[in-house]
Amino acid sequence: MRARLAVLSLYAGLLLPVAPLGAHHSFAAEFDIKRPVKLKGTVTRMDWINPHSWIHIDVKGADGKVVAWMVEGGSPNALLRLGFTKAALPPGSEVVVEGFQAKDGSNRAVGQFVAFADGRKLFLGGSAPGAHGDADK
Amino acid sequence: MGANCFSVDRRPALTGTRISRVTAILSICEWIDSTAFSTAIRESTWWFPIIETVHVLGIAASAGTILFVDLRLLGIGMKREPLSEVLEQLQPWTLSAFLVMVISGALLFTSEAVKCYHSVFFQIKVGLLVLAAVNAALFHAKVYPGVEVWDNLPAAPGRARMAGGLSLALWIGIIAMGRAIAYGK
Repeated sequence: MRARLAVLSLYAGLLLPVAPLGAHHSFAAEFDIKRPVKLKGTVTRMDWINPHSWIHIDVKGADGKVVAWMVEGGSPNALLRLGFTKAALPPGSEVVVEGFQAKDGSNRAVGQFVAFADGRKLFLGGSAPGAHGDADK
Repeated sequence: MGANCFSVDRRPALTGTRISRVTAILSICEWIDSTAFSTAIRESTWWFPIIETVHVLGIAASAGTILFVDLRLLGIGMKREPLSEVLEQLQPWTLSAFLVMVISGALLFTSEAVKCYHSVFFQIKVGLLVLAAVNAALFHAKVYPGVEVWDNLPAAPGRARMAGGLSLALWIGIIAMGRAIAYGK
C-alpha cells in the first residue's frame, strides 16, 4: 500500500510537467528548421530585453504589401558578447535577417544573424542553429 | 484573455465589476513594467541573469529540503531518522531559502509583469503555490501534532503520506511551470 501510494504520487508529479514540455524553448519546439526565412526590411523597433530580445521589422513583399515580423534574438548579455550594442539597430535601419519561422506559421522567427547593407553581420545568439557565428570561425 | 494574475478563468464574457477588476490588475502590471526599476532589470546585462541564478539556487535549497521531508513522510528516504528530526532540522533551510526564492521571484516578476499577466504558466504556477501552501498549513495544523505516535516508524500514517506525496507533485509542477514562463506564450 505504502509503495503503491509512493509510486502513484511520483507518477502524478511526473505527469504534471507534460504540458509545458510543448512550450520548451529548445529551438525545435517553437521554430521550424524546415522553414528558413530571409527577411529584408526596415527595423521599426528593437526590444533590448531579458530573457530574449526581439527585433521588429517591416518587410515589403513582392506584391508591395508591408508585413510586420518579429525576430527573436539572445538576451542583452548574449548580444553584447557578440558585438551588439543597444544602439546597433536604430529604427529605420535597412537589414536582412536570416532565421527560421515559428511552427505556428505566424510572422515570428528566431534569428541567426542580421546583415547590413555594408556587409557587416551581427549574430543573434539565440536558439537558432548558427546564431553564434560558429560557422564563420 | 479574460484572466487575472492569480487564476485561470475561462468565463467567456466579462461583466460589470469584473471588467474593472481585470483591467485594474492589468493596469497595475503595466504600471510595474513602466517603472525605471522594472526597465533596468529587463534591459540589464547582468542583473537579470544574476537574479535568475539566485532564484534557481533558492528553489534548489527550498524544494530540495522539502523533497527530503516528503520522501521521509512517504517512507522512501531517511527512514532511519525520526520524522521530527528530519523536518525540524531542515525547516530553517526550507524557510530561509523560500524567502530568497520569493524575493528573487518578485524581482523577476517586476521585470516582466505584463508578460506574467498573460502567461498561462504563471497563472498555473501561482495556483500550485497556493495549493502547496494550503497543503503544508493543513499538514502542520492537523497531522503533524500527533507525530509522537509515529515519529520513529519508517512510514507515516495515510494522511501524512498523502501530504508528502501531494507536496512532491505540487513542487514538481511549480518548477515545471516556472521554467515554462520564460519560454512559453
